[in-house]
Amino acid sequence: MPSLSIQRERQAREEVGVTSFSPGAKWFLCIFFVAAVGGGTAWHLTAEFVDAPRAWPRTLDPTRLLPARGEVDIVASDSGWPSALKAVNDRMGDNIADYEADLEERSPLIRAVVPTVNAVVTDLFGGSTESVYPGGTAGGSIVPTSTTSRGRDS
Amino acid sequence: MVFSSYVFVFVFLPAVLLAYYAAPRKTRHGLLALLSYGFYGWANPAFVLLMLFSTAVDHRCGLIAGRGDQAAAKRRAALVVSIVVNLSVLGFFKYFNFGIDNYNALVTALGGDHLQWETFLRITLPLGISFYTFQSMSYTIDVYRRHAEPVRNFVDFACYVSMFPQLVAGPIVRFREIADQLAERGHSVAKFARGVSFFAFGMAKKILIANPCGKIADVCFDAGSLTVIDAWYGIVAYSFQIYFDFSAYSDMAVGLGLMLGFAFPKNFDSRYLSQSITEFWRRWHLSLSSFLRDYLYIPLGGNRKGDARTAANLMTVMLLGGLWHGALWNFVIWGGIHGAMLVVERRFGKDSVYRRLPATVKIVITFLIVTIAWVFFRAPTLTDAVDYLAAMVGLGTETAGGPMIAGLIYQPYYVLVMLVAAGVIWLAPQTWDFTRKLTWPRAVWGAAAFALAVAVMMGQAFNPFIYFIF
Repeated sequence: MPSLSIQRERQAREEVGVTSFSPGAKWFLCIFFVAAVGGGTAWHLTAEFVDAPRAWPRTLDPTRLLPARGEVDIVASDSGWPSALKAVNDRMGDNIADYEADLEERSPLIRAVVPTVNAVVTDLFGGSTESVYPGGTAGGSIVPTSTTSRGRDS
Repeated sequence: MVFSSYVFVFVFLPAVLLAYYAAPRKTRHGLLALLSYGFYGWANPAFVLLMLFSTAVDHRCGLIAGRGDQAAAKRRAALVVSIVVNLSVLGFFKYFNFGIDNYNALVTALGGDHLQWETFLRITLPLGISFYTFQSMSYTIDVYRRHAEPVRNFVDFACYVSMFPQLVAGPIVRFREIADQLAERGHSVAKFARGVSFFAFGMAKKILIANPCGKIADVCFDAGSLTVIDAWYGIVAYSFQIYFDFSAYSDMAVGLGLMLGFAFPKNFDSRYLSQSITEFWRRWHLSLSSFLRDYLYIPLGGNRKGDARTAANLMTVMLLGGLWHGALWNFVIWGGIHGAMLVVERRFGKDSVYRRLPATVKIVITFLIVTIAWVFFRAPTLTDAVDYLAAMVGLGTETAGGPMIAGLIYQPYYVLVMLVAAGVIWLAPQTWDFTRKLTWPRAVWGAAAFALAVAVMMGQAFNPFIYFIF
């Protein structure tokens, strides 16, 4: 029976597989990743701070996900607590969807990157940004949601 | 919340990494469990309670089943309770609607009155329920079989069940595979860097390949009628979509796990290089295959009770495996096709002419069988599947929309993506091997792939994860 430290050593080797790195490559990957993800977040928060210097950043406000107290009380008094709990859940679901939409709407990163990406996809690779619903009895239809290649794909 | 989303990459993930590495070691499991419950509740907050219930039951049952001084009957009772509760939860939430629909179809066919109450009691499927119930149940079974020690600390167990990297789409991490890592695991720059490369390549596969292929498949499957070429192109696109979707999710799950110090088992092994259906199941969804083998096929008798019983066991496992993927007859038929192929290969494999064919031919034949079976997996109903298969053999009827569909699916961008997908599948090394030796060029490849994928992700609204709905 190998000692505990040997077992741990073997386990560690298995965990990371047999990864070998060129000198500096592992640091490059870590720093790149932290900078890319953290940088995007920092840019977003900075933009929010510039927009409203005295307010707490909307992105970091989890209370936005909760339903308003009065809303729940009204449902509870009208239809009882089981309905109120369902209302809380539904409202939180809506708030989460709104949070995500608001996050993307306000993102400086998306505003900076998406037009270029769409231009490359459409102009260079011949892609499209239409939402397409072919088939069915009508024989197909195209619903354009973006009139230029600069908008977001949908 | 899907991994390839803005909110995950730029809000949830940085928050998790910051909180995890800032927190004292003793509080990390509690923190991870809390954040994972938040991740899970993002789709539907109420279902957090369901996962908590399942976790509490299995934790308690595990403690009873694992006690050395406990009477055998009590240990067995704890195991039965765990299995019954988990399968009941899974059965109710996943198969209730299916049962009612089939009951109604039957009684209507027999001239009876169908149940009306399904109109107000349609059950919403909780995200990833098939994964976490299996995972949680595997704990009690392993503890009962004395393959693992019970976890005394509820927070540690909740962390194991709810861990967000693999919570909603696997891999199904069995408790004994991760028990020692829960007790103690190392964190290092090397481990984090390999995690980053896994996550980066997973993100690239998902955004740059799986999503565009999915769009082609959606157009074809929604088209109503197609030419033979378009139908084949569409199903091959779906074949590529599911390959990259699943491969991407597995890579990202493994990568996130490594960033948090965990090593998850390999779940994916270049399955379109398989030379037979038997080999396909050794490469595809490894954690599900091994779960079904260890907890269903072997307890049924495996291959130890004669040819007929082995064939029956294989069919049972594959039919239930199909049903595990979704409550539709399509999935049962998909499982049945694979089961039948496994039985045929087992019966004739050793002596057949097939064995003597060149490897490339066998790979092509296996890919074709798998691809045809995917029609049942992808089509929304059995009728749609039959119609699609008819189109694939030239029995479809062309509509006025035909040229428009062709104009869409053969856009240079999509054709390029399909070619890249084929190249990656059959020529490129898989992530597991590619990231074993991270040289500078490979590290730069990973960084560039991640940057490009994130840039494209921000412009993509079409971003489904196939395995999230199972």
